Amino acid sequence: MTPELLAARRIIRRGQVITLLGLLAAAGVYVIALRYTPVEVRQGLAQKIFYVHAPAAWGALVAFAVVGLVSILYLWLQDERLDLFAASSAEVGIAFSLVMLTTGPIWGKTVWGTWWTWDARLTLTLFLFFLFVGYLALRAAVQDHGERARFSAVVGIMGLVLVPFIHLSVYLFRTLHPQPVLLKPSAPSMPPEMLRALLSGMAAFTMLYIGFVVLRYGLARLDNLREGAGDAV
Amino acid sequence: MVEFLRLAFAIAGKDIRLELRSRTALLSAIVFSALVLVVFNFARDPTALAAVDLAPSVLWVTFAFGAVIALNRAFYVERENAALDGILLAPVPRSALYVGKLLANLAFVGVVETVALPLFVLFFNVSLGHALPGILGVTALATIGFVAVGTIFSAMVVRTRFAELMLPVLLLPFMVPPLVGAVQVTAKLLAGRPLSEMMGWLRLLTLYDIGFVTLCILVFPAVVDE
Amino acid sequence: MPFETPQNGGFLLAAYVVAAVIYLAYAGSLFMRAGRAMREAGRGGSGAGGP
Repeated sequence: MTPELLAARRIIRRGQVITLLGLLAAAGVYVIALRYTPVEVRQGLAQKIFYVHAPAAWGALVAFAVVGLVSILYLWLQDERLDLFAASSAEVGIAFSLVMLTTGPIWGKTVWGTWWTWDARLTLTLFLFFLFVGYLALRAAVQDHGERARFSAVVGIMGLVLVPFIHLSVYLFRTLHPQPVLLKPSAPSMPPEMLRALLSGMAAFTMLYIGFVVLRYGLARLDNLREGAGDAV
Repeated sequence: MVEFLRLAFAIAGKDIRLELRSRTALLSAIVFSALVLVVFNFARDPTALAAVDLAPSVLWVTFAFGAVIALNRAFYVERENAALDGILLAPVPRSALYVGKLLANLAFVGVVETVALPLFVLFFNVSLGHALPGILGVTALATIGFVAVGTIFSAMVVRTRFAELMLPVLLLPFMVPPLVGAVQVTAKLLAGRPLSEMMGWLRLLTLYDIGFVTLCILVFPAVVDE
Repeated sequence: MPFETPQNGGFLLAAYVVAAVIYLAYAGSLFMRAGRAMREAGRGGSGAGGP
């Protein structure tokens, strides 16, 4: 076995381990959120969707930032592995965006009475989703690896620059989202059990993100090798 | 700097002359815009909504779709003539190439908008009057934004499979900030609102234009060079 | 207080289930793809030394 092959397999193994740990941690968060958090009086049980919804939104945002930043690195350093890593993050980003875009409306229905509102965070995540899809669709449509990497990097960087403008547009338009509870100058206005559940969720799903990306990246390295050796893909 | 502009205008001129010879892109975009306006007319209930309320959205959806069509076709001309490869062999700075293509595309989309606007006024009975200069201004501002991004994306997708599908899929998210800004400002202009109410949106549009034209100039070499 | 906490446990369950399904399905697909790729690489790769 070539060293490249060994490296790819090692990355896959590591990714698998981290993913399994992440899934376990996520299960733990489920338990904490369902049993060890207080029920919010005004919103009822459905408020607990927050503990899964917020980390998913965070994960999608992180995935997107990684795609953008690694794209810049790729154009600068021209290392093909950076391109593979960015593409992996995009695919994982789709999973996290989907979770955010499904749990969000389910929660929203109970709080706002409608399945969808064009508020700041849902709208932004919807855009991230479309950008991820466009990015991956473009990759599927380009045959040459070098061209694919360059084009993807350009889309990644442009997407990164687009995000603040989307945010600004939505902000100027209107916002219905509940005021951010954590990011206030004084102490967060959440009771400690809620804060604990939220932070555990963030940690667990970040680990899951890392596991997914490493695993997907290892797979990309492996596929890349096989394509290079002339195997039919 | 002068040399740069001269090159850019030369490239733009070449594209425009090419298009004037065949005229297919312009014609399809114009016909398409007219059709969109006709469909909008039949798709709304005239008793339920005043034309003026719907006007900004109708106008800008028409402009947006017309622009996508114009952008798509403009690059096919290039590919069919295999002209791009020839230009790339010449020692032309990539930024001049981009700006040249941007200017040509702005001209194309500008023509489409120039035809669509009077049609819009005609079909929807909207009086522009005092709002006309403002509307022309915001149209120019928003158009620069999405044509800048559209120029780079059409350069990318022209050689891919499903190019006509890839361009809108990639471009539409990027069209949203200029579109939202344009619709908002157009609505306020038509309603005779004071300039102060539009400043936020105008700043958004201007920032978007500056940001993306600059970014596109920076990344264009990665699109055309091996 | 005249206000009554809404009974929306069903929504909570739906959201948690949907999220779990998405994550698990994605994890499953990654594991399956990786397993298949590693098997094929093991079979054909040992002799195919690349550049």
